Amino acid sequence: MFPILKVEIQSAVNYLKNLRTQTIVSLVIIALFAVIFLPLIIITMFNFLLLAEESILSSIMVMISVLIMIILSLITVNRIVKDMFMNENMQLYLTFPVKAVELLRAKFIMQLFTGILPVTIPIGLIVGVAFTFRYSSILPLVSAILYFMLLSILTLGLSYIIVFLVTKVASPKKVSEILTFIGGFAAVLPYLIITFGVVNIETVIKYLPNPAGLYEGFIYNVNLLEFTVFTLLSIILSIIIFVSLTQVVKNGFLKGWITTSGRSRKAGSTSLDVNSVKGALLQKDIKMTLRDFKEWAAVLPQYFIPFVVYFVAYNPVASDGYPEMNMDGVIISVSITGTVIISIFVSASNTARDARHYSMMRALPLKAADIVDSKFIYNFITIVPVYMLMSLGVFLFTDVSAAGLFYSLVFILMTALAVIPIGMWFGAKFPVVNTNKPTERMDTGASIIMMIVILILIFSTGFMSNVFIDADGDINHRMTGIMGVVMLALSAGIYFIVTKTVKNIYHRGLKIVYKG
Amino acid sequence: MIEVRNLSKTYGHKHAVRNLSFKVNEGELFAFLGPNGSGKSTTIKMLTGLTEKSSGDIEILGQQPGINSVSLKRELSFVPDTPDIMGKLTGKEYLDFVASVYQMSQENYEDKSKELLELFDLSGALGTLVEEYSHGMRQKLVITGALMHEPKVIFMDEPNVGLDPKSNRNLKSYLKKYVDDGNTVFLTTHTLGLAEEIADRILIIYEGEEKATGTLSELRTKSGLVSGSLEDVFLALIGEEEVNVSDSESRDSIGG
Repeated sequence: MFPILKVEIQSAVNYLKNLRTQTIVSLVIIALFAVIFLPLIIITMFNFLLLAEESILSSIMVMISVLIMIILSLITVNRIVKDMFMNENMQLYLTFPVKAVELLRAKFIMQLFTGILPVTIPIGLIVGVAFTFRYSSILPLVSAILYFMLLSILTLGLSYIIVFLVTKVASPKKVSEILTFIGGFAAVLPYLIITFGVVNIETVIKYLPNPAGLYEGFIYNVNLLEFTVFTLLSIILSIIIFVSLTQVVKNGFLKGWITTSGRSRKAGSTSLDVNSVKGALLQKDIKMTLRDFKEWAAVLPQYFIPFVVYFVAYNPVASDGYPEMNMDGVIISVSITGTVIISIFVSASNTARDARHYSMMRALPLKAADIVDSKFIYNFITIVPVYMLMSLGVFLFTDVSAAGLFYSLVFILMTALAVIPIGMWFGAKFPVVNTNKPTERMDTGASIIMMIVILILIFSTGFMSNVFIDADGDINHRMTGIMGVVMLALSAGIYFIVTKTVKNIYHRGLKIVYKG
Repeated sequence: MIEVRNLSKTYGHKHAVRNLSFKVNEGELFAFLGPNGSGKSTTIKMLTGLTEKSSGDIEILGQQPGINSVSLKRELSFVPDTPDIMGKLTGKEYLDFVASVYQMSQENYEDKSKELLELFDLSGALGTLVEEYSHGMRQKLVITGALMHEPKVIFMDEPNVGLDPKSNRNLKSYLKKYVDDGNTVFLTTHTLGLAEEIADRILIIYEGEEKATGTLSELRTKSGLVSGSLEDVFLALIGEEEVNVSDSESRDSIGG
């Protein structure tokens, strides 16, 4: 087992040593955010555990445990699929004179120590320290760490059970795509947790089971007898689960319980059809998106950002008690900022996606103009109708006027016309192909610039909404009309200039950065 | 048909290809051979316009290849060494895409693709996503896509890698007939038996430079061998000698 573990650790260390400067910069930015927000989260959680009524402590433990198991098992399943199926070193290891059980133990240890324990142990420490202070005893610290270690091994076990089940119905590659999609969707969760969760946490806890017998005496309000019994039980259970898991997974691999190919499915008709060049390019893009959950994962969070603005504007609780904003102003300004956000991200991502097949595309008799025009149409039909429907939904469920809706639809059209080519410029100018991380398509520097632009836009939405409203709280038709005319001229100009620039980039050939 | 004069490619200070000159005639199957890293793929990419040359001239069908030479590309085809095609399309959709890009007529597309799909035993897999294909099936799909619009010149970089014996034989037969009809094939391969069997002329490149060009018998003469397979000729020309395994083992065993 140790030689494999050594190679796995060496491989992880080499990965860290060879990080590109831009990735390091992104990690530093993430670390800075963590430095700002982590102490807040830790202090909030610590105070909550220290001061909460004793009657709900078991419910809190249930909530923490369930959240950990759900979130970490989803992440771990994705990692298992990549590590055990898609990464071919598993096959290579099995050709060496090592026992399958040793190989699996090494993999489990890596998955536990680099994926699960770095999350669960700090949480265990917060829980343990909080209860240590609350009950003036060191025992809860020991029991909390043991409990979260057991929970980690259970999470690993749950992840393998999910892998066993899902690979029965889909290929590992498809499973990985779906999980990436869920991961992308999960990026929306922080917005929901911030807006709904924090306000309603006590209501959530009321609906959770309260198994006081499970935690009282062991995790909190500790007595020596229960502590001893549960400590021994945790250790024994952890060992049993770890050993059983090794045997079960070994059998899964060797006896073929886990399929590596999934069921082959027919995806469409076999009648042959010739199309126009632009039509063929458009169809290719649509099919590649509809069938690839990774694509959905990459763009979904951006589609949801405007909803957060709508929610904050409409909900007095979420907007921290401030009076409601004028929804006409909000819908018009969100139609501009939201369309900018989605157009930049989706267009850039869709354009940079071609880098993966660029050699093939370049060998074909394709004109740069055909590629760019079809890509613009594709981006337009995947962005504009979605945003128009979103505005229609807001119109139906809030007190937006018909004029507000009309302006919103017009601004969506004009903004998309200008910003889609800008997104395509980013995608064509900074494409990246990363074989290890297919969702990474663009240069990190370009992604950071786009992120900053988006943050500025989100913060400016509130200010912008005032531009379209007069002193009486009605739509300022004169100002909105002037803005519309200015935007139309600007959009048309930007469309022609930037589209031409993008065509020139394709004409000269994309400069692709290869990673992985 | 293909004329290359003093073609060079450098990456920084590294010369991938140096002063390469050769001519490939109409109706000829030209094999371009060399060890790993000798500049074969770089040359084929320059010929197909996928990589820009550092210096020299290339003329194919009287035109200069390049990224934007759309009319020339309609007369050419390229089979890359790795069949990296869009996995989320079905085999049928990939072929539809290629036929549309080459602006084939519906009738011509149906006739040619049917012939090639039967040749490579792919008809039953047309409705399956390409990502579910094996390497060999992808290779056959790429070859089908490359041949169906009947290009005048086809560039093939290791086309037989991953092909099953039946498809390999069918490919050889097809290519022989294809050049007999007046078309041109430019082929790179490490399977020297394939080149020996079907190539009209052979160029051997080593460390980016031409070592020899000619028919197999001309290459034998240049290498100083009276007889011998293409493998013997190839190794003699690039100056590599076969390692005597039993000798090296005995040296190892006595600590030498």
